[in-house]
Amino acid sequence: MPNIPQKYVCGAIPPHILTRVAEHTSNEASGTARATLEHMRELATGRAASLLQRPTEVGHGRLNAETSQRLHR
Amino acid sequence: MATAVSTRKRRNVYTANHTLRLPGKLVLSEHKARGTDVEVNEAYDGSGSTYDFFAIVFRRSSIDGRGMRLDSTVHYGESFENALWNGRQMVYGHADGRIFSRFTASVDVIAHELTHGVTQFAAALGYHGQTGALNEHLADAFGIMVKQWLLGQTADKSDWLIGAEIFGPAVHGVAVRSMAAPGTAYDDPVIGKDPQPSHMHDYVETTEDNGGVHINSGILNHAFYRAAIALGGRTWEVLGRIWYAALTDRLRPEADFADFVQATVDIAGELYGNGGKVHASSPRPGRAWACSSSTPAVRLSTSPSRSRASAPLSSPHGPFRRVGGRRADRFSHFHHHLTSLERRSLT
Repeated sequence: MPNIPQKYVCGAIPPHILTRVAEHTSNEASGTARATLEHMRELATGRAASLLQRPTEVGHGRLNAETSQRLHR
Repeated sequence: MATAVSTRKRRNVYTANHTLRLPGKLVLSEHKARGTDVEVNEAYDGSGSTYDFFAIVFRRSSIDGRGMRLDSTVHYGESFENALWNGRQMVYGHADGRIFSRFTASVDVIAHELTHGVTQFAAALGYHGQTGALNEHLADAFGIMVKQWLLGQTADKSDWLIGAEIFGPAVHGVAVRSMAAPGTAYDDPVIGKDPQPSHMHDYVETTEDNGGVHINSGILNHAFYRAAIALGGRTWEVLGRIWYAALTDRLRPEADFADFVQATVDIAGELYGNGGKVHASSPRPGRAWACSSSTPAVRLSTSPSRSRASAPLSSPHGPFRRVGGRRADRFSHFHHHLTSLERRSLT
């Protein structure tokens, strides 16, 4: 049985729902949805990059400053 | 001889305390008492139910087949509104209580995410286009089977909903997805309209969502639902066995819909008929699949699903484009198999 790291991130809430919330709701809900989408992208790309470098840090939430600010507000 | 499978679960649930640190502080395990945090307890129970399902039904020892400990972290971030399997563990954000209720509330969603782990270790299946939609379908198929198994439901008693407890009071919708009726799960000013198709003629071409993996999975989901209803009984006993064998034994990392259809047809023949072993207590699926695979394919226009290939696209969700053509032709034989199953279930 192969032991191959997963190279994607699937969220329980699909991106088309979060995108819609980001574009059609109030500032707070919209900002949260945007931050979630951005973090999902960063988890995916961060892990994809880490597969080539340091697998032990997979999925540990590397954030840009804007996303980090939203998530830690 | 059957291989012994350990049913001794190992589960840890942590809290990130609204930070982004994983796994966080351990709050519940097999040797640690249950507390009052609903999300902690639901994450623990959901991973346990999923573990039990794969162990008892398919004799699989955890996600990786080797007894992997199931770790979950709740309260991830201040306002991270999602839940996911990150390749190593489950991660649950914090819902606002208005648009979303709790991301741990639906056992089928937890099982869906953990099935991505099974797929990761068993098939290393890709996550783009048809391959990704197949990946999503498998997660939904095993997700709904975990729920049905937990509730002791036959196919006709199931709601066939994925995430029926996820939306909050501000949303007009019954679930995140409906396998019985893709495209009808929600229609709401805030979250939009469910964009899932149920038929290959309505396959959506998009650059978003890795090529619409959460959208086009509706096609396979609906096929799975129809097959389960046609066969009747407990979904996991026959259909689940075929799907599990396809996932763990036949799929290449780049498999598409047609590859999966062929794998399930082959396995059904091997397990239930078509010259293979026929189980005495469930002969119908073997005859139905074997029969349907030996007759010419029907045209899509005669299949049960209504064709909307020429309908204008009004999706508010992005640059989607519905297509038919070659993909639909390649897929037509699968609908023939299902049509045959439905005919036989009525006779």
